[in-house]
Amino acid sequence: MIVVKNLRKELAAQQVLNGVDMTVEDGEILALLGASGAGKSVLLRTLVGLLEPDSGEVLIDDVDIHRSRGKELASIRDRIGMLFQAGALFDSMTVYDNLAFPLREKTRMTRTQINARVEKYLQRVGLSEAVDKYPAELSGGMQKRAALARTLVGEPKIIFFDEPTTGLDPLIGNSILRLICDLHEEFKFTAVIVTHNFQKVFQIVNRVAMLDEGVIRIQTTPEEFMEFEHPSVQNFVIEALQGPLEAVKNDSQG
Amino acid sequence: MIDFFAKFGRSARYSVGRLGLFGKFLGKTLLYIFVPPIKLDRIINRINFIGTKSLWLIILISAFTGAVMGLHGQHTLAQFGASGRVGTLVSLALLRELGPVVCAIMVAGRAGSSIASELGVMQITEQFDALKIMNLNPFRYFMAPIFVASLISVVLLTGIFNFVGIFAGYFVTGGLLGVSYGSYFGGVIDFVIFNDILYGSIKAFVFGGIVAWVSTYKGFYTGRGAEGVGRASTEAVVLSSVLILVSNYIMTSLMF
Ligand SMILES: Nc1ncnc2c1ncn2[C@@H]1O[C@H](COP(=O)(O)OP(=O)(O)OP(=O)(O)O)[C@@H](O)[C@H]1O
Ligand SMILES: [Mg+2]
Repeated sequence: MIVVKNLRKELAAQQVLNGVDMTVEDGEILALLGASGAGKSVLLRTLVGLLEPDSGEVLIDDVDIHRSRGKELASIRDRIGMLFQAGALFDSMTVYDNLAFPLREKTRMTRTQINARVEKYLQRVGLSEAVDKYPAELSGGMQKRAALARTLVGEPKIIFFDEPTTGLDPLIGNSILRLICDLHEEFKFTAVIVTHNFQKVFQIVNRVAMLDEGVIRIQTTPEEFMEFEHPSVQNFVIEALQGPLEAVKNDSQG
Repeated sequence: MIDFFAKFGRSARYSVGRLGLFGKFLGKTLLYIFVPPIKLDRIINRINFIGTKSLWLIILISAFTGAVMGLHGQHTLAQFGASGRVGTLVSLALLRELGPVVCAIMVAGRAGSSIASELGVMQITEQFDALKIMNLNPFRYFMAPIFVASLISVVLLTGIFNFVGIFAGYFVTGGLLGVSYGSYFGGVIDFVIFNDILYGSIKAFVFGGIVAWVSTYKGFYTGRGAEGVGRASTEAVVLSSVLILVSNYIMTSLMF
């Protein structure tokens, strides 16, 4: 379980996180919503320990990730996977090695086991053909899928997805969500999915949290979220349902 | 006035902090050279990279350095009737000073700058963050192998530099100015002692460490965006060169 208490983070004289409280239950999928620039990526980076918060705590299975060191920290890290918004593939390695590298370095798997595991996940994201390519030789969408496969290949218990479907065509975007959903049924990992595109994501998530002005405005079920009476939430829902152009038109009319 | 001191204090504290970070970075790199598992394949790859980047440049520059010194040396020494000593002049200058210094500065310009930009791009595209999430240490996979590879490469390249330079000196003085093979290489063998080679190699070793230390540090702590990476790579070359020249002066004054 992940418990976030009163998390604050200031970046470049801007209070990006202003007291975030949030919980993610074991085995649930939580959608993290919020306007562009709301601080979703900053929040994820703070949750996984890439950014130090100014105050507050992040408890992962009852251990504060920002106060643990050595073996304790290593054991938390071993449970965590993260899909970066821009992929963060190792550009000096082929797609195959990107996936195989963490397995080689951190597990006792044999060469054949690693091979089988890597091929399994590349196949599931539809990249079997691209094993020997370098990240620079892939399209943006292919990079995203390769990065997704690398996040999943170690089969972590807790996974943070920073916009897994942004930049993909709708067909592939759907299949990626399907994949996350299938794997979730198989492994029962805990997941936080950052996304703009919540209609699709709502079909696979248990709960929704919305980041607005540095705080979690609401954390609830998808159904309740749609009905929640708060201007930021309603704006977000309307924009997402109507598409941005409609929302702009409505604004200018009234 | 108070404002001035406050500003000065702040920037001094910042610089000292930076210096501490720079030192700690070296410490961590040195540590991971010895903490197993050691990534031998990565070291070999890097030697290959540094070697291929710099080898032909080193050969070209050493040939012309040796040749020019041969010309000057011959003209100057002939005025004192000591033209037989030109081999001594060329070989001592190369082994003690020019070989290690010029070679290391060339490696800084070629390999150091590209290492800084490689690590800089890795940093701004969050590849080091991805490593951290995987619980893998960048010092084991990047800084330490680069450091070891740079030590070995600069020592080897300096050897090549000196060898080529000394022969180039002979080709110019022997071929064009008629100094005999015997008197040129006699001048080399009679006056070069083992310590010249040893001290030159120690210098090359230290310079190799400086190039790796500075380039990996500048790359890892790059500024934002493409501009930041560009600046990191330039600064890596400038700072390496300055540190090479300063440490060379210190080592020369201690050694000879
Ligand atoms: N390293 C940084 N230094 C300074 N400011 C930053 C840094 N990273 C993010 N910010 C600021 O924090 C705010 C939140 O950024 P963040 O990337 O978390 O947004 P986001 O919600 O993920 O948006 P998007 O949906 O567009 O990805 C932005 O205003 C951004 O300018
Ligand atoms: Mg983001």
